[in-house]
Amino acid sequence: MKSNTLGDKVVLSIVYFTLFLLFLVTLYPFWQVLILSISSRKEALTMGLHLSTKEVDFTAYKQVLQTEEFWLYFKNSIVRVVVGTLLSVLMVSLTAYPLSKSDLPFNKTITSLFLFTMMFSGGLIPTYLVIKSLKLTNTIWALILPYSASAYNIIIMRNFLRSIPGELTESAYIDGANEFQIWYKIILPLSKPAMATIALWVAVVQWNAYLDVLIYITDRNKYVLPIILRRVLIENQSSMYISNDMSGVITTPTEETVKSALIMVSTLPIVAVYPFLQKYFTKGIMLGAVKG
Amino acid sequence: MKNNSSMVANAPNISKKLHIKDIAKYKMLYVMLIPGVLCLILFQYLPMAGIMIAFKDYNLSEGILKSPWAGMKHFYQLFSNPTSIQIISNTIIISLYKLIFGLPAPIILALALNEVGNHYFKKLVQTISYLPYFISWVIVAGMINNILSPNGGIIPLIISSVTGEKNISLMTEPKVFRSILVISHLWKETGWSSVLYLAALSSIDVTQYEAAIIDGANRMQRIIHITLPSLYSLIITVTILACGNILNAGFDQVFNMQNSMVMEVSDIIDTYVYRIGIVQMSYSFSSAVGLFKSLTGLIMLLLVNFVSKKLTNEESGIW
Repeated sequence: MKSNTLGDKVVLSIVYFTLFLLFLVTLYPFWQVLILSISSRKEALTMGLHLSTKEVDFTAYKQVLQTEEFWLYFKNSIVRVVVGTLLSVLMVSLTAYPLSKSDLPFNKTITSLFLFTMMFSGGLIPTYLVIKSLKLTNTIWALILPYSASAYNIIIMRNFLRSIPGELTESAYIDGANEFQIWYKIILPLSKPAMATIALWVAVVQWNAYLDVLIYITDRNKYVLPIILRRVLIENQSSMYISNDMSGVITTPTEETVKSALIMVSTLPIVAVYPFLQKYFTKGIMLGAVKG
Repeated sequence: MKNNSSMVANAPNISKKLHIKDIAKYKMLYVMLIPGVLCLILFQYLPMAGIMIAFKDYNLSEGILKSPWAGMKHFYQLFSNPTSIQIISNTIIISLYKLIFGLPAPIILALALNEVGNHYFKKLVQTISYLPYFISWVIVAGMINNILSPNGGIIPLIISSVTGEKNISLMTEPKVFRSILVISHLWKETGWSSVLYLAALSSIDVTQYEAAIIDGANRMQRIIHITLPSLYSLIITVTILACGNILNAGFDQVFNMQNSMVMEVSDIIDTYVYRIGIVQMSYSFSSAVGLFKSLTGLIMLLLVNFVSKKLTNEESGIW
């Protein structure tokens, strides 16, 4: 745009400067974790900014990845995310399809029942008691099922399905297909973009979810990553990842280094899908902006 | 249902049959709804029915239905107990601060990003500012512990180089702990919250800006008179929804950042319910606390939505 007066230039410089500052402030904590995780003991112990490291040392990673416990919880987390996401996406689509048909009797009633849960809920304790009496505690289902029919995701999917033109399914009706076949053969493939969005949504929630594991899982073998992260990062119980017997105290990584390495490996899955996340999440936000 | 029957009132004989026929036609669709509705009933509506234990003296052996009624006992206890009053006020203070700073921050960020002409710079800032949203609070709390650590954390180092103080332990300081909660909340959420506003901004008609430039409006005037007004309805919607969350001060964040030194200023309803409910197993009282929280949220949402509709002549509300 032209007509850049002096005032305009000042405004623009302030904008660029502030955004650059924001960029640094947001990036620095991540950068520090990365640098700390590969720093040698000596460098990790120096005070101040950790902008770079002279010698790269992967001992902390080795020690974290050596422990059986880490792999067990990592595997549990992966299972939770994969099963939870698949189930949720299928359930959301399966539920949203009938609700996208405005001529379906009781459609409004059922939709309102879903919508109401976005405004009011039974709360932590009654939900806990229900899940306990269904004998779901200490199973993966306690973590997956309550979130699988999320009202918000169903509404988003319903809005998306309404935008699919009716002609696409009409020929299938004429061929005598029933609604389930139409959903399976036509609607599912057509709604891939919306499903990708919701899948990533659910996956991030499932990967990061914390409170439900804390409440429903008491069996140590069924814990997922956030539990061990809390133990190491917050409660400072990192001793099991620091093996002193290897080559003496001088070369063992510091507690902070081990913590950083643990953060790195447990955020890696998120960072790996981050480019997709950014793309599809933004699309999902746009879908949600359509008033239903 | 009433509308349905009145619409076909001039053909009363066939209306009922038509309805049954409809249901047969839609049978498969209803079958498809079963898993979703089952989950809805089991994990949403059954717990809502379970709220009744807030009015009972729940004990494990007798179960939810057979435990004796206790009336409003737990609610009297909630409002007479100084601890719970403290916890309710902590919750309101923390989430009100988050609301006051958390609402304008993403708007300002979106407005700023909208002014950036350099595509790569804009993309870079966006990519980095969204990132914290995808990291769990456990990890963010760990990072904050490190940065604020009295042994060589970067923030205490900066402070002590200015003031000369030593051994600054910010995480255990009640005076600053809430500020740490609010700032870390902003750090984590602001970038991502701006997406919604950026999406709205991308739909503004460019000719409006062109006309304004011809009329001699400078950059700031354009932001104030064109860009900002286009966000009003979105801002109202976000505000209404945020008011419904007024007692949601964020379990994951507070639980992972609080410690015994700052309990007094940081304990919120959610962490309290977890502690007395799950850890100490006083199910009835903690359910009462939970019900108070859910009900307040619902009432706030309805109230703010109502007021906003009245103020804007039915134009902006969430439904």
